[in-house]
Amino acid sequence: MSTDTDTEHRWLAFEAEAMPHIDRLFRHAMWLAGNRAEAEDLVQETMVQALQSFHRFTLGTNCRAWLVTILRHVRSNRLRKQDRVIVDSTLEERAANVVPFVPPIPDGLTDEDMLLALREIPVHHQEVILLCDVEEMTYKEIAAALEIPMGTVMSRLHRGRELLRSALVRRGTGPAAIGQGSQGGR
Amino acid sequence: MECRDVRELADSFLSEQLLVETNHDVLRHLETCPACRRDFADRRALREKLRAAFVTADSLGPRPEFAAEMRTRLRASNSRISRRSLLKSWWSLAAGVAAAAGGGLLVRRFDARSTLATLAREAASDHQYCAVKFSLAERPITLEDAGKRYGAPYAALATFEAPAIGDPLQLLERHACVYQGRRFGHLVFRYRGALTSLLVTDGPAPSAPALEAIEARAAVASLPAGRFAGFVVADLDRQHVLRLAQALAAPLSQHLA
Repeated sequence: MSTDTDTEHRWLAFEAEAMPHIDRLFRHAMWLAGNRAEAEDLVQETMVQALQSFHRFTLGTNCRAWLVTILRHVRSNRLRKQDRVIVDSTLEERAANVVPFVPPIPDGLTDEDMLLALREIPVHHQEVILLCDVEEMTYKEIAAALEIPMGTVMSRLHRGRELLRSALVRRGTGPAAIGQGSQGGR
Repeated sequence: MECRDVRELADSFLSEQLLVETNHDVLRHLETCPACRRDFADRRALREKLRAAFVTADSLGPRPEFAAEMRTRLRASNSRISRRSLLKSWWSLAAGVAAAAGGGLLVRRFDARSTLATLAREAASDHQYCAVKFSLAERPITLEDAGKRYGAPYAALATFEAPAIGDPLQLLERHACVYQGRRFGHLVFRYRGALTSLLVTDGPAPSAPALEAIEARAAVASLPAGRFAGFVVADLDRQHVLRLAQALAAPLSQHLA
C-alpha cells in the first residue's frame, strides 16, 4: 500500500543527503583510481550500495564520511579481486620516521604543486591526510573507514604532514614561506 | 604547557579533535606564544591550500553531466530496490503471521517505542558526559556549523528561544555534540538549580511528552520536536522534568516545523 510512498521518501531523503556529495566523492575516486572511467564506475557502485543500505545511515551524522567509507570498501574489494596488493605500510612508516627537520614551505606553490607533492608521499599517509584535511572526517571516522586503530590514524597523519611539507619544500621555487616556519618556542 | 607539548597537539587541535579542557590549555598557550601561533598558522594555511587544490583541480573533477546521469541511474535503481524489498516484506509478513497469529500489527508500534527508549538512554548519557562532566570524546561544534554540515534543523535550534514558564529557565550553552556516534542538537539550561538538557536528534517523534522509564541517574522525558525526537534530561524530580517537556513541546515543534 505505502511502498510507492516509501520508495519516494527514501529517494528524496537520499537525494537530499547523499547527492550533494557526488562531486567530492568523484574527486576522491579520481584520486584513488587515476582514470576517469574507473572513477565513474567506482562512484556509481558506491552510490548504488549507499542507496541500498540507506536505511542504515543515521540522519544527522556525516554523510560524506559514510559515502567515502563505502567508496573505499568498494575499491578494496575490487583490488582484492584483481589480486592487486597494496604496498606494505610498515615499510612506508619506517621510511616516514626518518624525517628529521621540516623547513618553511615556499610561497608561490600552485594547486598542481600541492597535489603532486601529495602524490609523492606514501599512499598510507596520503589517505589519512585526504580523509582528515580534505574530507574533514574525524579520527574516529577515518579509523572506521580504513579499519585501523585511532592511534595509527594520528601517527600517520603526523608523519604524513611532515612528509608533505618536505615534498612541498622540494617543489618550491620562491624564497618566502606560506608562513614563517616553526622556529622559536619555549 | 610548553611549546613542545602544544606542537604535538597542533594537528589534533586544528582537526578539532581535542577535549575541551586540552583545547583551552592550547589556546591559553597560543595567547602568549607568537612562535607557536606562527606554527599553527602555517599548518592551517597548508591544510586550507591542500583542500582548495583538491576541490578545485580540473584534473580531479567530474564531467559536467556526470551528476545528472548518476541521478537518473540511481532513481531507476531505487525502483528496482523497492520491488525486491516488497517481495522480502511479503515473506516477512507471511512469516510474522505464521509465528504470531496476527500479533504483527503491534510490531511497528513496538519498534518505534523501543527506538525511543534507546534514544532516551543515549540522551541521558549525552547529558551526563556533555553537560555535567564535560568529557565527550568528540568536541561539540556550533549549531550553525552543524546546520551547514548536517541539515537545517540544527541551525533552527540555534535560534530557538525557550518560552517563559513558571520557574526561570536560564540558557547556559547550545551546540551540536556526538555521543557514541549519535549526534544531538543540545541546549543546556539551568532549571530549578540543576543542569538541564534539551536534546534533539533524528528519530521517531513521540506523539506527546512522556516520562521514559529507563535506568539513568537523571530523569528523562521524551517530547515531539517537529519530526524529530526530543528529550529533556535533568537530575530533578520526574514530574518537574515532565512538566518542562510539556511546556517546551509545542514551541519547539513549531520552531522546527
